[in-house]
Amino acid sequence: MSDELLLAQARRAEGRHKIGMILILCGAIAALAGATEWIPTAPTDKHLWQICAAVAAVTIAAGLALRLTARVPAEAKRGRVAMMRAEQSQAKRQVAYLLMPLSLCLMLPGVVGATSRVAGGATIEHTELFTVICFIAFLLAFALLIAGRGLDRWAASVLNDELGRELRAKALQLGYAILLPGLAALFVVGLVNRDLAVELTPVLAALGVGGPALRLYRLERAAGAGAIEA
Amino acid sequence: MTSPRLGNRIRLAREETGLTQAELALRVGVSRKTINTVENAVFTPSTTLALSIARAFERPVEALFFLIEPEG
Repeated sequence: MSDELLLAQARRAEGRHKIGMILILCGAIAALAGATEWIPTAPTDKHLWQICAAVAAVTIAAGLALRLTARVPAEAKRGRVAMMRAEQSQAKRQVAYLLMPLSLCLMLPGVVGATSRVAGGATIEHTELFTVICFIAFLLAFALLIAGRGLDRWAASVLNDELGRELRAKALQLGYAILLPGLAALFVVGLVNRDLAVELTPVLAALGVGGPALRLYRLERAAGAGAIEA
Repeated sequence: MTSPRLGNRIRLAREETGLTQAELALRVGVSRKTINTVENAVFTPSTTLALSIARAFERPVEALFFLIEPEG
C-alpha cells in the first residue's frame, strides 16, 4: 500500500476518533449541566436533568462507538508515514496552543463574575458553577497538553523528542515564573483584601496556563523556521 | 568567561550522503525540526543524540561535531 493511501486511511480513522472525542466531551458537558440542576439554587424545573442525562447517554454512546470502530492501519504507526502524521499533528497542536489563551479569556469574565459574587457572600448559581467547573477542566486539560501528556506511542518519539522536551520545559518555566510570584502577590493582597485576592485567583490561573501555551506556540514556530530562542 | 559553542558538519554530511533532513530524522528517530535546529546550531543536542546522528552517518562523532572557541 502506498504512503499516500496509508495517510488517507489514517486521516479518516483519526477523523472518526476526533468526532468521537468531541461527542464524548459534549456528553460530559450535558451530564455536568444535568448534575448542576441538583444544587439548591437551581431553577425549580427538576425534570431538566432527565433531558440532560438522556442527551449525555446518547452522545457518549455514539462517541464511544465511533472511537472503538475507527482503526488506524498498523503500517501508519511506524516509519515515514508515522513521522508525516506526527508532523501534521504537531502543526494542529500549534494552532491549539494559540487558541488556549483565547478560550480561557472568553471564559474568564464569567468565572471572575461568579467568584466576585460568591466572595461578596452570595450563594453560587448553578450556571456559575457550570462555568467554573468548565474553566477548571479546560485549565487542567491545557496544562496536560502543554506538558506533552496524552500523546500516542507512535507520535511520542517524534513529538516528545529531545527538542520537544526542551521547548516544553522552557514553556513550563514561564508558567512557574508567572504562578510563583503571582501566588506570593495574591497572598499579600489576601491579607489586606481577601475578596480581591479570591477574584484574582482565576486570572492568575489563566495566566499561568495561557502564558506557557503562547510561549510554546512561538518556540515551536521558531524551531520550524530554524531560529529558536536562546 | 564565555563557554565554547558546539559546531557541526551535519549539512555537509547530508549532502555527501544524499540524505534529506526528514530521512535523517527518520534514521535517528527524532523530528525533522530537531535535525533542523541541531544543523543550524540553534539547539545543542545531548551526547546520546549526537552519537545517534553520528551513527546514522556511520562516522565518529568528532567528524560531525566540534567546539567553536569564543573569540578574544
